Amino acid sequence: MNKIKATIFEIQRNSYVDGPGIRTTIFFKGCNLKCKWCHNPESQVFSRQMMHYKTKCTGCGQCRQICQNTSGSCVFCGQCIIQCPNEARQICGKEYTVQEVFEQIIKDKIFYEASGGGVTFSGGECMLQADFLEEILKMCKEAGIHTAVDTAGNVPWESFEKILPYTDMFLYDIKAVSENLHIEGTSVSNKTILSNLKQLSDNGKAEIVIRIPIIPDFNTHTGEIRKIADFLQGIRYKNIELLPYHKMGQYKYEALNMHFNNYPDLDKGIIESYKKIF
Amino acid sequence: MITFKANNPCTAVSLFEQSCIEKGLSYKEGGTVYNVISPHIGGLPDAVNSLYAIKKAVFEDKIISFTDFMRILKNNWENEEALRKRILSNYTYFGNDCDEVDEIAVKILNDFSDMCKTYDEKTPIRFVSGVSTFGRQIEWAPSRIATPFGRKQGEILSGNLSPTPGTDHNGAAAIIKSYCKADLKKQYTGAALDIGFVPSSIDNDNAITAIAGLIKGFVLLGGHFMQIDTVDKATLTEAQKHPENYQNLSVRVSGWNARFVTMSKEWQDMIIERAK
Ligand code: SF4
Ligand code: SF4
Repeated sequence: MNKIKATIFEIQRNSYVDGPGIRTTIFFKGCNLKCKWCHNPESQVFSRQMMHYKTKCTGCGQCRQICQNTSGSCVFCGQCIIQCPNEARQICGKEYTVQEVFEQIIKDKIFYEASGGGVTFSGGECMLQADFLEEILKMCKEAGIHTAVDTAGNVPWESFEKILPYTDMFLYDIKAVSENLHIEGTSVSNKTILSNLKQLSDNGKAEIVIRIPIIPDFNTHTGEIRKIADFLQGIRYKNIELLPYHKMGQYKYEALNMHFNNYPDLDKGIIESYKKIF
Repeated sequence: MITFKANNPCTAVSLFEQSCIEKGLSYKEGGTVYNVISPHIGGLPDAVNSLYAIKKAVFEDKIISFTDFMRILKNNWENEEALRKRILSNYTYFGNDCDEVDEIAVKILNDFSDMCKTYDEKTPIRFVSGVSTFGRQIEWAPSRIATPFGRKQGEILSGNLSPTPGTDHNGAAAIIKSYCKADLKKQYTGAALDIGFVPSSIDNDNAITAIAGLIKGFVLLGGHFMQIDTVDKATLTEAQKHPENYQNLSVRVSGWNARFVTMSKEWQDMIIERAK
């Protein structure tokens, strides 16, 4: 039996927003981009994290009293979570084997079939754990389940080759095509991302859905969206989803003691006008 | 049954039902072709969760003796907050598609309909089982005692055959699967299930396809009575005040999710604004 494990921060059953139909979405922990607007900051590092929701906490101190751990770094025993009267603490991330994840996915097979749905692997960047991903995708395909992979694409092409035979759909994120802008917003170049997308489009059979986060003051300037549209002219894709920037992840930053970058609010009309470009 | 008939002949019903006058028999004496009395049970998911919590905490994990446990419940969990939360949050309750707990629901439902059947065969009246509370769970709340799965005295517990508020964490598909594990054909007069959605999590094109899929799956699994609604403003406001009862509400945007109860007040307010 396969013993590889992945750290996953959420298994969301009954999702309607991560591909077609009813889906189960598996959120892998760990990412190699650092998008300044990231709405899932708990997905960035690979290891488990203790989240402490500041607005729920009354400072009663019961968590510190119960904590047996003197070394200062949390061992994730979970005692403080039980003790906290205000639901202000949560452990983010849990290790799963391929079999354990599959057992969760297979549970809703009847609903996938009834709705044209399936499973979506997301994150973080699920493709950074390519061996695990290959195994779980293979199992899902053997069970006749539709598979989707939500990726930012910043991984070696070999990782794509590994999973291509078992992936029906890619949800592929494009943040910017101008390299400098991309580096400024995500701290990595987009060279690999764009060339992987081109390869996927030319050589792969999987359906491609392009997802573009619309971030005010990042890609809403200097005709960046139009540049993306131009680039996509040469790409085979099924449809494009424009994801409007939102700030609902702010409290997660506070819970992790991370700095939150406050972008301006999005002008609602802008999404409609961008839709016309594609 | 005889005294029941004599004391309560159902005169008005007998007057208006077909064939009671012709036959000279009251409704309860078998005056109509079809006579039905249908006892309905309420609070079944609470009973299931209670039995399951006792099974786990007392007999399997042995974290407390049965006698101590009962004493704690009589005292409404007083000074036992840690234990209460441990039992409430560490076990998986009805509505999460977990066979171990759902089996208890199947057993109670089967036993209940079998009991009704013994009367059904003895009288001219069909005596058939069903499950419902239809809002009466609110009326019943003040006389509720503390439950073994961590709820305190007087709390509103489950409505119809829907999970106890706050104990389902896996969404509608899992609730439907838990519900459909029983042979629902035996509940002749219905066993209602309620499914609620946060409006902002279903305002996308795919949600219609998905909800149609939920209904289809429900029927394929043998379900026969489901009410689908959106969670209204009042409920969301209630969830802000009493998060412990609303652990299940989740808010989704592409690639992003959060449980409503963990969000800061500001963002909760925004979601509430968008509800009807
Ligand atoms: S999980 Fe355990 S080790 Fe970590 S802070 Fe809480 S009590 Fe301490
Ligand atoms: S126990 Fe909870 S409310 Fe009290 S200080 Fe710790 S986190 Fe805050």
